[in-house]
Amino acid sequence: MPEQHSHDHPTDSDLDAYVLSEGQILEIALRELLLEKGIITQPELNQQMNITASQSASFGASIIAKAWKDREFKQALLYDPKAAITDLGYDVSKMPDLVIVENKSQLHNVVVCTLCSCYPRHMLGPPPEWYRSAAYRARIVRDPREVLVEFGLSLRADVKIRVYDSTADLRYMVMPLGPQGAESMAVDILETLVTRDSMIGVGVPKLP
Amino acid sequence: MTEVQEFQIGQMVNVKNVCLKKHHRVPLYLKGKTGKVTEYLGLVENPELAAYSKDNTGLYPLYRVCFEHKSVWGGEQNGQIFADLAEKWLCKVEV
Repeated sequence: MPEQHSHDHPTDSDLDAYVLSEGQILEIALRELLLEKGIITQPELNQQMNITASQSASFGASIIAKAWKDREFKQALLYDPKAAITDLGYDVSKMPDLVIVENKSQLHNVVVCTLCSCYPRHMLGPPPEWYRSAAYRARIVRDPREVLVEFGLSLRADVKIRVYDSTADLRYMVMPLGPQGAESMAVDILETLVTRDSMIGVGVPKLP
Repeated sequence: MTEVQEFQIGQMVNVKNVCLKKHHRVPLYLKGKTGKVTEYLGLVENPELAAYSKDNTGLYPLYRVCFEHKSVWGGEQNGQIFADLAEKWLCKVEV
């Protein structure tokens, strides 16, 4: 992005075949206006893009693994996730309020945002493409058991399913069931068992 | 704007069956459905104004409401759906 940005965009022949969507044009227009008017600066934008790109489900996995290992931390985490994560030394001040819902042997939780694609990005990184799809958003509230089967997760008939639709400013994530004997296992081993999908609720952790 | 909550935990509420074309944070599939308040989540801005960056939209209590799957969709599935809804979109169930 040049310092003096003029609006004569040269046509790049390599991109000729690529037609921008209305949303993409809107995003470019908004971004350029914000920069030109000095409301945000290019370094700020770059910094935020780097932060966004560096977020990943491995952070969420490390928190869940610690909770499996440490019963006291788990209780604190379920009670007030942001405070418990802050107490570990992480800065999550920019994270929207977070709710962690715990799976039990007869209760399975799954997260969706039927209205758009709200997702606990600070914990899990950018959402997968299917999470934003109309099909997932429409069907997981309508027929969760069958949709979970399509994800490869067949729940026993006696397991009740709770779907959390993130309709307001709170973000939801799932605390999946830990393996037997998790408290005596190493946290770095436990971390490798926690998958992104298990924290959305469309999967379960890997077996040790 | 009052800070007194109109609904108590455990109370049954109806979601107002009003359609708005604009973004307003109430999913269509819950309009007109009955659920139970399970938690009070503090005050939020008026969702249908805040979405358009309007200031001073007023503050409304936000509740987590639990809907039985079968009461939303019919059928026999025994699950539940939870959604976080502003008080202005809820009304008392007339007994």
